[in-house]
Amino acid sequence: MLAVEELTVAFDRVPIIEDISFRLEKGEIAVLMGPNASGKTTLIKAIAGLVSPLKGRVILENNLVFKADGSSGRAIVNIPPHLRQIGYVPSDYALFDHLTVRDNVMLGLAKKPLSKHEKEEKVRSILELMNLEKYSNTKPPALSSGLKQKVALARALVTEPKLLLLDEPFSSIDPASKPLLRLDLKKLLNSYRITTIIATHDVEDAFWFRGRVLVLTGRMITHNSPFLSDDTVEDEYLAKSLGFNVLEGRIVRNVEPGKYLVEVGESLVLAKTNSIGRKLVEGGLVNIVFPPNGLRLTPECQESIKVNALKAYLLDAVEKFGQVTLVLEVGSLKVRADVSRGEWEKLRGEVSKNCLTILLPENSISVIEKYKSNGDVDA
Amino acid sequence: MGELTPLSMVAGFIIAFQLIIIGTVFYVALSSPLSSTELLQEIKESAILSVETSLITTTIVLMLSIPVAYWFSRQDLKGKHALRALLSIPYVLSPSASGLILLTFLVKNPLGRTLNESLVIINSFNGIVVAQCFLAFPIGLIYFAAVFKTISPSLEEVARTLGYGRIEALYRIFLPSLKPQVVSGALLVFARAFGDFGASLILGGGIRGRTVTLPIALYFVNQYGDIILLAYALSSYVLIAYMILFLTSMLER
Repeated sequence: MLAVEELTVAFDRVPIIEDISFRLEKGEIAVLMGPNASGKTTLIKAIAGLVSPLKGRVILENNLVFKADGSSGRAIVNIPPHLRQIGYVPSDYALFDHLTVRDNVMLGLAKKPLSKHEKEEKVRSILELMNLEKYSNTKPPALSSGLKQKVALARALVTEPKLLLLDEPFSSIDPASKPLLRLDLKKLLNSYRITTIIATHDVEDAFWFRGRVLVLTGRMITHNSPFLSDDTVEDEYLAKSLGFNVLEGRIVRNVEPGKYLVEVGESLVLAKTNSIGRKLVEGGLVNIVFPPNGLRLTPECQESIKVNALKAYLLDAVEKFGQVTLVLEVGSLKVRADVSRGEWEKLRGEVSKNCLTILLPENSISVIEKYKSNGDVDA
Repeated sequence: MGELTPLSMVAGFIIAFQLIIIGTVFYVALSSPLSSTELLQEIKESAILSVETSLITTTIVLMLSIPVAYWFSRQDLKGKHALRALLSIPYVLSPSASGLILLTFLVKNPLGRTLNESLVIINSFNGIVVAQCFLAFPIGLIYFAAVFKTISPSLEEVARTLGYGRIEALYRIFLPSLKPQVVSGALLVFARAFGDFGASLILGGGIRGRTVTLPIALYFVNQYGDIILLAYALSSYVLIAYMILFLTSMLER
């Protein structure tokens, strides 16, 4: 079990992450998502004890490992990293190039009160489990990125940690090798049942590991749900990562409970809201979200006052096998529309001056919170 | 043999020129028989003294400069640059100026006098070592601070999660991984100590049979005016330097 409560980390008095709170049950996997420089690595390091938070609490398996109230500038409790029983794998895997694979893994046990024989047996067993025995005497520079990742994982797991922290584990893996490595990691995590946090900016990881989804945007946790599904896209970053269209708009009025008229550029859009509990005020900034598929495109190009009709200009068409992704410009906003090759062939002949109209299906448009750059909610 | 390119021709020219310059000294030394065997014996003793003092200096300087350099490379203190400049002063000063600074301290400062009385520094073997350490320490500091900056922070972080303190990680993990760089650093420190003339003369006193290092002996032989003997002394100096450079390049592998 891991509980993070009101954790704030600041460097030179500039907060990097602020008031972060979440909880993971024993054996739970969490996928920590967020854009670059959102503070994912800082949060992981704070949990590991590698950076000292300004305030907050970290509880691991009912043991308080960090506590600071922020007033004195000093931690009240701050257990050193190696006593927290945490396995940490940084994004560059941090293998020691002068040591063999076996010695790198052995390093994980160097400080454990075990006999030499016990240590050797544990290392042999984990290398066997991870199919690394044949690389035992190889040094890291001769290994592929995937194998390096496995060695770093073996070094972390051999210590039998209570919490495993993986920082961007697939960032330096080529796309072709990712699925197999994800599968291997998933099997491993399922067999060990270790509470795990995987920091990533790839939404694929959230689908693969079926874990709790935490989104860190602009210093704060903006989304926390036990799993990810494409019909619960409530977070701006998550929606964009999943390929949804996210357009900034302004509330015009509340049409009926859970339904709002939103001004997007020069058009009006009728959108539902399931995720926002509070009442949205007129004139407040929000985002409207809709998927790239299921959009109707017509070759008309005139100013329209029809609701849910957006006048757009075609910027590019990217063909992928039987599907075509159209990149469209609505005012200053970009919209993605996925159409079949047949639809595109038909439309292409009729569109003049690259101008067309997008008709949004009413039930597929949602209103979600718009976050400021620091993660605060607007509107 | 590689291809003959303009670059290889320039390299070949430099190597040939170096060989001719150094070879001349060996040619002069070997072309005529030696007149004074007593002075030759003194040169041999000076060479041994130089190697001894330089090895001790290298050991002391590595022991001190490595942890200090590591500390410097990992600290973000406000006065860090001023502090580093202070510790590096002897790197810029002439060796004799450094020797004179040390001499003033050992004679005029009560702490210096106490140190001199207890450790017997002035006009002794210890004096040469102290002078060489004073000169060579900044080289170790500057060099190793630059080397330690290349250690990835994530390696240190992983070492900490595995239970290694900073100093323990430095000596048990990072230094073994930086063996070629440590050997190169040791060579730089040794070279500074081995080549010193001014500071060693001022603190060691240049007493014949006791504190005359090889560079000081060369100066005396030059004053004596025997070109054959001078060529012998220079040849042995060059040979020792070459052996050390060759050995370190083997160790750097």
